[in-house]
Amino acid sequence: MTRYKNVRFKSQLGLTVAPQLKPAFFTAHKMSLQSQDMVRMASLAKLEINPQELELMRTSINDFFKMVQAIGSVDTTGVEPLAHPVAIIQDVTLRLRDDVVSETNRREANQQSAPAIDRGLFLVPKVVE
Amino acid sequence: MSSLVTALSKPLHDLTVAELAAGLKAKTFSATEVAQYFVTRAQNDMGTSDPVQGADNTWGTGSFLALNPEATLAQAQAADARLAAGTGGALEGVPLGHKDIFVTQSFPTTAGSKMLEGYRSPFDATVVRQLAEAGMVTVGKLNCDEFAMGSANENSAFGPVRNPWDMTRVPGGSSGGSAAAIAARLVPAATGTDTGGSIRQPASFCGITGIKPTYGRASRYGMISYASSLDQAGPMARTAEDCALLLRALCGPDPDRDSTSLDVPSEDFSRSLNDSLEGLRIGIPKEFFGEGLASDVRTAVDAALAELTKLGAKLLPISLPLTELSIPVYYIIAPAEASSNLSRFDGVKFGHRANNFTDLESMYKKSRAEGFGQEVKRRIMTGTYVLSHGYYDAYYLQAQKIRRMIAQDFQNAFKVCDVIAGPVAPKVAWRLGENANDPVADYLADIFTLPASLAGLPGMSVPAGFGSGQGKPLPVGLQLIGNYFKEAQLLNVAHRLQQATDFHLFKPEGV
Repeated sequence: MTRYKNVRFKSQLGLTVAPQLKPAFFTAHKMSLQSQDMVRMASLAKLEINPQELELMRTSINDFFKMVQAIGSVDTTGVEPLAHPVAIIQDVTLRLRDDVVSETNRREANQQSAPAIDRGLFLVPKVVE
Repeated sequence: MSSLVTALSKPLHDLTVAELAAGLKAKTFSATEVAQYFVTRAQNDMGTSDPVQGADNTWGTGSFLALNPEATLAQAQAADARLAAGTGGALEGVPLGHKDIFVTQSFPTTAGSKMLEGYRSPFDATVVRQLAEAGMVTVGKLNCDEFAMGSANENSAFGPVRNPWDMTRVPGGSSGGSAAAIAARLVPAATGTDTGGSIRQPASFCGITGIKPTYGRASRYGMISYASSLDQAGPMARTAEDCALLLRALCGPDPDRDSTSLDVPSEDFSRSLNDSLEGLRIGIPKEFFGEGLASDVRTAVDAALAELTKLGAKLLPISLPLTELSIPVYYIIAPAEASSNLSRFDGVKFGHRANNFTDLESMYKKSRAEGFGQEVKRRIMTGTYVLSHGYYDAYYLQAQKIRRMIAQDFQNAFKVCDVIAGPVAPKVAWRLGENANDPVADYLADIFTLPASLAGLPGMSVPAGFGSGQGKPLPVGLQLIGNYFKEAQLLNVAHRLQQATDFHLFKPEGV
């Protein structure tokens, strides 16, 4: 059974954590995130990150994506994605509980860590004019 | 009776969970005395947690984030009342610490994040409740990497945890506070969570014992979510015997609270501890013994395996060919799930809210940017990217497919062997700050724990010896991986090893 389009990643990882010894395939790939990708992701993730911090993060994320490229070399034709790991040996159904009231009213306890409340309501900046 | 004899002859902090339970039942000491003793030890450690060397020439470990002596002693007094009435649970009065990723009503819960500083949960996590129902008394909350993201406990917003074996080194992570507190004898046991190795690796680095059960056996309700398809709770203690006792209380279906919880009842995990290992087939994955494995770790692991063969086990070579790929696969799946899970932190119902903002959108963005630490933000960004339009198939879906292949490789291996053994980590605990500017270096060190996590298999770490730590002995763990629901078998192998060796009895200097 051949499952690999190529096997170059095999035993090349070296397992060392010294940066200078990182195996060749880590740096062989060209895919990288540009600054505008980072700005877009930060916006989607609702994170206000200043340009300098974003640039530093871009470097480390790109380091990571160099390693990630190896997954593209695995032939997964016909393989189903696995979400609940135990589904590998048995059927797993993610159950739903009956749609009935099960909680008592604990408004005070539930709001005890809220940043801003007024008369039992969560306060947010004005969203409707 | 042997547990009781020991209970009379050693200081309380040297007693195991089993010995403490026996002593409490025999009224050798009360739950209140035990609780007071461990609270004082934890307070002393907290008092010297400043990274500056204390006046008594010691450093605190930084293990504890929160204590509440009043709540602890109230729990202990209730335990004493039940012990007196003869209605006590199996672990009545035995103290433990909870990783700060589990929500608790009586203690603050932070998940190691500024985002949750000052947060009080209106309920207890199922795991916390079940251990309390077994009679256990909570000493406090234990430090961890922020939202369990890390392998060295250096990502906590409340400071790093130090390894009691060498205070200049990391305890491992993300359950680093749990492991360090047990090694420093601040608690006899603790809860941990394991998403990619977060119970096994700190257990290995701190010379204690920890087990991650099959995914779905322990409830995730009230365990702050990092990567939901991987997160699993488990016990950490000094011996396999203790882990078996704790695991029994910790497992079980939670049908109304956790939809991924399996309909598998808990069991008596202690029943086969003493079974013979004669004829046991231990699979040795060749990918776990490559050139990247440090020689001192390899020597200790080889010696532990030799010990197991003396007990009757047979070693046979197996292959887990996708071991290396488990790193990129894990570091796609986990951040993807994290980016979704952590979207709940928006500064509205709980958690940090920025002081200055212009509108709702800017409140979200500033609150999240201020509340989350560097590594958490990095993983949210990575996760957002791999789930975004045009990249989902190439990254997330492809990773989930390889995940199935990794799980299938394990099933193929278990056709020829009963358990799998190897190192937990490629090297012993590294120095604080050593990987500070290189997150990928930390990711690479997770290589041996990630495969079992992705497959959802039970795995544990057992003290196997010591590596070289420039004058100080640094613990090395042996990893045992079992097939689904074979926790009792893993504990049996670990217990027999602990009867033949004494690595789990060694203490760090000064403890």
